[in-house]
Parts: sequence; C-alpha cells; structure tokens
Amino acid sequence: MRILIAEDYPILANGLIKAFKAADYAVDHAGTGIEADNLIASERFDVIILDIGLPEIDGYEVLKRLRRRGCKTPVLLLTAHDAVQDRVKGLDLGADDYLTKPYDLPELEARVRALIRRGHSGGSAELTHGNLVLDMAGRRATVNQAPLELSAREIGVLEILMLRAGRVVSKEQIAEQIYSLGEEVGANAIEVYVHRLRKKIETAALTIRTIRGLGYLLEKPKHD
Amino acid sequence: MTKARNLRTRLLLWVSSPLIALWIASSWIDHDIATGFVNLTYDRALLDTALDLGRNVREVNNKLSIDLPTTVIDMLVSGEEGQRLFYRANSPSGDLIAGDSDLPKPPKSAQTERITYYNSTYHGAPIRAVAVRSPVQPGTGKGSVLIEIAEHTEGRNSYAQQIMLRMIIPQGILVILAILSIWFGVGLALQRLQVIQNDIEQRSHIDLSPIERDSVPSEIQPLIDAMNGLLSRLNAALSLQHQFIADAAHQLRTPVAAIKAQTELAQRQAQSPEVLATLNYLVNAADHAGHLVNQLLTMARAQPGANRHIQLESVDLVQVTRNVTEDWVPQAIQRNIDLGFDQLSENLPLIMADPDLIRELLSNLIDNAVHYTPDNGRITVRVYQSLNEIALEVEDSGPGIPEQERLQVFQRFYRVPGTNSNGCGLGLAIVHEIASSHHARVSIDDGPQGIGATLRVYFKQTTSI
Repeated sequence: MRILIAEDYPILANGLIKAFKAADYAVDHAGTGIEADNLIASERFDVIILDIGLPEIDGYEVLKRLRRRGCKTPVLLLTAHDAVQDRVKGLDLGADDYLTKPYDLPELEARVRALIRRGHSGGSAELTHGNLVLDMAGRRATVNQAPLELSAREIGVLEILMLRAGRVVSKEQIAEQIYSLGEEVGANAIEVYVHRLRKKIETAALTIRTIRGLGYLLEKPKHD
Repeated sequence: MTKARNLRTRLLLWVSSPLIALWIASSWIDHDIATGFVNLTYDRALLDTALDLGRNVREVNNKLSIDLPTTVIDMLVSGEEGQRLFYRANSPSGDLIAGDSDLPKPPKSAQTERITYYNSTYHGAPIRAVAVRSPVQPGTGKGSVLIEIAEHTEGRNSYAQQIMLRMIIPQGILVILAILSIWFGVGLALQRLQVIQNDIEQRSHIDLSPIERDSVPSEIQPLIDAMNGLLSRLNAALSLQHQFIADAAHQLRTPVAAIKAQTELAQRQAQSPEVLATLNYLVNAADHAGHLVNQLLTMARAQPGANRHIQLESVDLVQVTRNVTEDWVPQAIQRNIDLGFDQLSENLPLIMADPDLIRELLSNLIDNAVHYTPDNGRITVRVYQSLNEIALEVEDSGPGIPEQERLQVFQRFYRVPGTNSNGCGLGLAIVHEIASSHHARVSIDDGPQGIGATLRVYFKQTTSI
C-alpha cells in the first residue's frame, strides 16, 4: 500500500510517516501544495492524507486539481478548522473523509484502512465484524465460517447495525430497513427482532447495546 | 452644570424663573399704574367738593358763613366709614368758619397757592387732603377763604388694590399654565427617550447592533449617533478579539496534533512500564490541550461580533438533541455509562435558534455530565414542555454541584473545588454564553434523590432576539 502524506508541519508529518511506515505502508511526503500536486500527478497512491493549510496552494486547491484530472484516489482531509462549512466544502470538492486536528493516531489509521478497503473492494457486498461476516448480496451470515440461522428481517437488522457499527441506530431506521422488505413493523416488533438476533449471534464476539430512548448500537470490536 | 439634574427640571427652572421674575416686575408696575389713576380720580373728586364749598361761602353782616347743599352735608356727615369726608373752612384772618377744627394744618404753600394737595394723618389714620383758596367776593380784595377737604386714604387704596389684583391674577394664571405646559410638554417629548432606554435595557450583552435613531427627536440624534459610533467601535474591537482567539486556537491545533501523534507513536515503541506511564500522561495532557482549544473556539464563536451574527432559524430541539446525544453514546459506552434520551412531551413546538450553537450547548452539557459521572453511571437527556418554555435537561449520577458553587460554575475556567482537575472549566461557561445569547435561562439542581446534578436550559417558545 502506498500513501501520500501532505502535511507542512514537520513534527506532525514525521510522526505520521513513522506510524504508517511501522504499519508497512510505503509513505511519500509532501511539505507544500505544489509538491503534493506534482507527486499526485506523477505517482499512483492508494490513499492521500491531505492537510488543508498547506503553503503555496492549499489542500482544497490540490484536491480540486486532482479530481479535475480524473484521479479517483481516496482523499482524507486534515484540518485545523472544524466549522461545518469547511467540512461541507471539503466533501463537495470530492474528499472521502475528514478529520479535525487534533485526532487520535489509531482513529486516523482506522480511517485510512477503511478508505483502502473501500477503494479496493469497489463497494464489496461483504461486511466483517470480528469473527462475523455478513454477505449482503447472498443475505447470509457466518461466524468463523459456520452459517447462522437468521430470518430475512434479522439479516436486515444485523446489516444496518453492521453498516453503522459504533454508532447509534434508531428503531425508526431499523423499521425503514425492514419495511423495504415489504412489511410494516412497529417499535415492539423491532425489540423482538433485536432480542432474537442477540441470542442467535451469541457465538460471535459482538455486543448489541440498547441505548435508552435512542435505539441500538453495535459495539466496535476491541481490535479492528 | 457640575451637578447632573434631569432635563425636565432644568428646562422648567430656566423657563419659569424669568417668567416669575417678569410677573413680579409687572405687578410692581401694575401697582404704580393703578395707584396713579385712582389718585388722579379721587383727587379730582376732592377738588370738586372743595370748589363747591368755596362757591357757597356767603358774607352776611360782615360775617362769613357756608351755605352747604344737602348733598354735600350727606356726604360730609353721613358718609360711610372710609368714604367720609372731613372739611374745614377758615376766614382770610384765619378764624374757623365751619368744619372740623382739629384737621391737620396744610403745608405753608397753601397760604400762597390756589390749590394744594397734601398727605397727613387724622385721628391716627392716613388722610389725603386738598386746600383751596377761594376769594370771598372776587374783585373786592377781601381776601380768600381757605377751604380744606380731607378723606381717609383707605378707600382709594383698596380700590387701587382691586384694580391691581384684576391685572395680576390673570397674569399669574398665565404663568402657571405656561409652567404646566412646559412640564407636560417636555415629559411627552422625553417619552421617546424612554423608548430608547427600554430598547437598550432589554438588549443582551452581545447585541451591539445600532440603536434606532429615526424616531427620536432631532436634538437627540447626535447623541444616538455618537453612541452608535461607540457601539460599532466596540463591536469591531470585540470581533478582533474573538478573531484573535479563534486564530490562536486554530494555530495551536497542529502542534497539539503533532505532540499527540508523536507520543502515541512512542507509546507503541515504549519498552519499560515507567516510560509508558509517562507517555500516557503526555497523551492525556495533549487531549486536554486539544479539548481546551476546541472550547476556546466554541467560546469565540458563541460571542458573535461584527462578522458573525447569530443565525436564527426554526430548530426542532428534539431532533437536535437526539443527534447530539447519539454522537456522545460511543464515548459514554467506553466508560460503561448508560447515556439515554427521553422525550417527555409529544409535538413540541420549534424554537428560533442557531442550530450550530444549540449543538455546542448540548454537547458541552453532555460532555460535562460524562466528565463528572463515574464509570457505570447513568446520564439522561430530556426535552419537554415546561409551562410556556421548552426545557432541555441533562441529569447525571455524578457528585452533583454544591449549592454555593452553582453560580460560579458558569464562570470561565472555574472548577468546583475537590473535583478531578481534568476538565478545562470552559464547558458550562459556553453553555451559559450560548443560552444568554438565545435569551434562554439555565438552572442547576440536585439530581433525583439528591444524587448527581440536573442542569436545565429553558428556551422561550417563540424566541425573538
């Protein structure tokens, strides 16, 4: 995997380079916008980590230019600004993800891995969560390669929880997911589905938490 | 001018003092005019009577006598007190012919002048008299009879007074009317200033928009213009200050990110537990610094200056609250805190607010609760209708906030003594700042059964800022 780190603050750049090199990435570094733009134009990267506040030309401009050239490499923007309009501007220009300084190194690494996965699978139909794998196209789930006996609605519930792992999923969102399968369901029914699902995936190392008044949350596995 | 006095009293003093002085002066003049005319008339009447008497002096057998007409006798004798006349007629040799012998003597000039007026006292009261020399038989050289007529001055004085009063009283009424109309007229004119005063009093401390000037009297407009000038300079200065804080915070983010990245990297390479412990402290400190930087930015943003005004729009408080609470769930789960949401009222009306600022407000409330709630604790966020307000409530199972600390916790960088020092002390200040910019009020209470704290923000239902 080859990544470009475009960050002008040397101590931060140095830390990121060492971290990704330690994780066996091939890392290139650009200290200015022009440098980054030239590297992107001439080399092929799997992910670009782009700071917005680059000298000469800023990160937005670098992003605009690379997208104009038709480059589809996933871009993760780093910024010292967290105003909503900054975020919207970055995403509108074609950024794939966005992190505000200061951030946790593991968080940055996880997001880079996610971008690489997305870039390579091209929207794979398989979701993996610890030892549980959900085949979205085949509507099948397995734990350690052993198939689970799940109904279509339970698969639907599991799918939306896995798609939003680590985030709260409301009962309404789950209901919408199942409704699309041709049946209207009430809040009580959702509780029943989640209860059954919990029992059936006991063998998998994952926890579905009930969040009072908000919905459910599939806890992220301890080691991603 | 050294002592501040209200404009109304000052105007009244300036206008009423000359008016009253004029009134007094004119009374003086009126008095002179009235006495002048009255004296002229009364003297004329005295003279007529004296001349009448003179014409009635007869010489019979070398003896002089006065043949008085009945009308004159009536007047001389039976005149009412104050209108009664006194008289004396002396022969050319100086003998009394008729009348009151004890009438005071006329001045010397009466021996030579034909008519002499004079003042004197008679029976202890002031009198006015006229002495007329009337020839006994004109052309005979028999000399002149001296006739004196006198009356008390009381009658003419009271008449003069009456005339004067009739002149002074209407003038006095005019003066009083003028003073009253000034008092009420100025009061009416000053009501516009009252409106401006209310306008300024009702402003929140962050509202530095210009004061409306078009409806105030033109004399006051320069003052309003000057105040607006000051407000706009103040606004610019505050904006600069907020901009500086925001810029400084942005500048700090990158080095803080660098410290974190390098320290986290070192954590992975650390061999000894002592070094690891030190690095853990470093990461915590870097996190704390990052948090502080974020809160400084929020603080600067919550105080709008010239460049950024509060963007009011209809906000569904339930939706915003759900979203923000959801965002905090993962962090709460890490410490096994049961963070939940409870919508107590259905169909809550929308509020007028800046959605970004409301998110910050709630985020800081929950942050504060998560910070002080121990592991395995419980936090509940509620939204409900409270009379004509909409309440946003965050209840935690932390140590609570002692009653005597409840006012201070909203101050910047204040920390409740004895609590762990990892918070940065800006969260509740931000809550307070945003609430007051939305004319919302904030309260702190004990949690249920005296455990933990409950913080509430009450939003006005139809907020108009």
